[in-house]
Amino acid sequence: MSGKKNQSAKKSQAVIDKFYRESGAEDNVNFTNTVNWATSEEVENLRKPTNEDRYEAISKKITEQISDVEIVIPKEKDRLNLVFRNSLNLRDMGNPMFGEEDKSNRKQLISDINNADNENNHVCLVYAGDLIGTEWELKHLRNAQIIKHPTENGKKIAKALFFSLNERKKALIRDVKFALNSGVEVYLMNGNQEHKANKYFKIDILQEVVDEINSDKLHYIKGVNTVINVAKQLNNGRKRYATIGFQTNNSISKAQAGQQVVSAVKRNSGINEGKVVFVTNTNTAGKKDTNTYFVSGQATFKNTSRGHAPKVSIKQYNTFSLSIPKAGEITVIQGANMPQANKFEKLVYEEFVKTQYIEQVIDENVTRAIRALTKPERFVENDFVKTLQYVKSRSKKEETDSPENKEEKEITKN
Amino acid sequence: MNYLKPNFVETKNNKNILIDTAHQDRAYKQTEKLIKSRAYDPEPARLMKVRVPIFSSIALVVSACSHTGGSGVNDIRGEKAVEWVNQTSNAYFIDAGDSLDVIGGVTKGTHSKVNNQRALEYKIKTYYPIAKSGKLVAILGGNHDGEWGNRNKDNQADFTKHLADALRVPHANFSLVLDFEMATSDFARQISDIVIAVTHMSGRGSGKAKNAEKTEELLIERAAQRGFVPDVAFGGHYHANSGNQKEVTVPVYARNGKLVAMVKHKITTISESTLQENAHYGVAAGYSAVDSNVYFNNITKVRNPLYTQSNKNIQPEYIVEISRVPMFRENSTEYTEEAQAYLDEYREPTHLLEEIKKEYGDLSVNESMEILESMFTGKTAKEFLVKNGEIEAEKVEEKTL
Repeated sequence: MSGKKNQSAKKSQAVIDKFYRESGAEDNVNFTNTVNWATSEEVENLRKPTNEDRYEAISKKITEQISDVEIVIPKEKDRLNLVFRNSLNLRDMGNPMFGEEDKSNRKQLISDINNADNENNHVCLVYAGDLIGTEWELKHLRNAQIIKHPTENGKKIAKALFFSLNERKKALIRDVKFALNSGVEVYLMNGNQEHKANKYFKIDILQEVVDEINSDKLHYIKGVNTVINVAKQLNNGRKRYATIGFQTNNSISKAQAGQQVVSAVKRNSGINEGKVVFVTNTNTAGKKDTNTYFVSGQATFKNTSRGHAPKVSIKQYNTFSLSIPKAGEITVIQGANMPQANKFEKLVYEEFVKTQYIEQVIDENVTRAIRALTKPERFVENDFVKTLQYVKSRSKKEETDSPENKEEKEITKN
Repeated sequence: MNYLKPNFVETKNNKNILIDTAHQDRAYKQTEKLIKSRAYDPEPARLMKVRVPIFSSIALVVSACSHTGGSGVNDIRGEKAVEWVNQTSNAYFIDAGDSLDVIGGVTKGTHSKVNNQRALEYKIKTYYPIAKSGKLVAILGGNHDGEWGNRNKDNQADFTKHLADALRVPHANFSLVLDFEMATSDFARQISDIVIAVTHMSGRGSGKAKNAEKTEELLIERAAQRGFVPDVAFGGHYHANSGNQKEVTVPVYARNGKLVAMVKHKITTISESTLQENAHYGVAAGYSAVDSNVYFNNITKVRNPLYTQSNKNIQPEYIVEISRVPMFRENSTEYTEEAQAYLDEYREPTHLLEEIKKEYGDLSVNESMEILESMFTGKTAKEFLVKNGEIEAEKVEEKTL
């Protein structure tokens, strides 16, 4: 028994050293920020903290709900288009990103950005939480599937299908860079998955992503139940403001949908004071409450409770177009961009209507003339005479051409 | 039920709006005795077809719970919404019930003082322009202003039937399934059809999200009875202004009956808003502040970006795209910038009438006759005049000078 315990301890240590600390990774990043995962040597070298150290750690706790990030719509643009990208579950096996394997997810992203992007709109892509997945914890490594592939040298090697936090961070950086290359502003937000990583390892994954990419167009909105100011820059140099809220930490483990989700979000996250609120990372999509939009995610399935068949999650309810007509007022168009007319259809419709109007006017002319026949005191003489002459001439022509007349003509000829 | 071929009949106001009489007739025949007693209503969903000329997108306004005559109703918004529809080329209007508050049932005299008859007359006058132009597709019965059976037991007097008859538009007691045939050159006919289901709903409200789900369940069932899966489902009654997205799987069969694909189909459900602010029963049911507004929904079909040759058995090639736009600004009867911009883009070309009157209005009858003749090929002017019953040929000769 003791032998088995020792083997188990050795195995755990090997696992921690080889995979969990990512010692095989290029950066050789050490994520040990808690005593639980530190080695004995590291623990021996630890020193006593001071009260200042404690103050520094406490000050990082977020209490305010208003974010210091502000989205500004430039004066040459009319509207703000928000494209949401959440529930990515990068590198997860159980509930992966939809369309990742055949790159159709990328195609969808390009389509979303292109649809939202035009000369009148300022486009912002919001990575609204649940980006790094859940299967980076040690328990998933212990249950990871081992696959065997032949190498180029013909030697067979085995791989464990476990993707570390570092690799997920790299995948996120690649995704964000792709989005930045499309020319849009990108905003990152934490969700439940990032919050867990923060709790376990005391690291801020998204801050590391921001530091590594280091772009002016990349912003980090801290907090999971926050309100941000959206400003429309006016021609006179002033700004007109309205607020939008985000609620991104919605850890709903059961397969809740509909009204249950709305209640659960209110319980978990509380009330958000934004004029328009966007709730992400839930099992449902739609406008569930006054000015509250539940946004769809990129995961393949909904969160499903144990023992139940997973259901496919809703897609393509993640683009919204906003405008600020007055200070404090915000208009939201859900769905795609502001619909624009097809000019060809308009031209064809105008021709169609023109024909109808011509018929209507001509009909009025003729009706007027005919009515004049029945009301002699009102008729216009010229019209009356012309009508009669015309009708007479046509009727005479028909008489001469009628079969009876033809017979008479033949008789007279003969 | 065995499949019954629909019998589409053109409506009086607009020959591009057709109504199915077959299912209704069969349902009523089967329960004729019961219906005669007015105690039971089989609640058949009315099936209609709307042919949309030229345009590949429609702006659909579904007005539910306008409660004309009731307290706190913003009637000016209702009038302006009708005006907007009348001036927009590709707009259609459906009244989804409770358009009249009707004192006597749920609405007590203490809450509403308006005479029912006057309210009805006002509504007829308000809707007349869009009924005349053929943009008013149908009127549905609600629990305040409908008649039938268990669902609408509040008043037992069908005011919506009177309204529909006065305006000569189709009427549906409960549910409506509409097949919009879009005339586009890009898509084949069956691909471009958009199926919309509408009902008033009933029962007590239990949360805005739940209301949208209840609407969805009922309408999917009603549309399925007619052999359709709806793309968009509209409901009223709850004053919710909420919505839901649902994805179902639809089997696709080849002509020989072989199952060839199980395709994803997205259904968007909208539980419409109301024009009645601060309704007493809304407050009693615990709703948050009611935002009364009218929305127009721009509905069109676009190519699915997720569709590829490899996943064609799962993903549909075309999907319905719906943009829901508020018509009025907050606490105001002004149109939103978006609604105004849409109206300007799709405005009815009524300015052409003035130009044509200038060009053709002063023509002599002779010249008018020639143009008319050219339009009615093969007919002489005399035939036209005689056929229309305006004159008789003999009488013209008697009246010669």
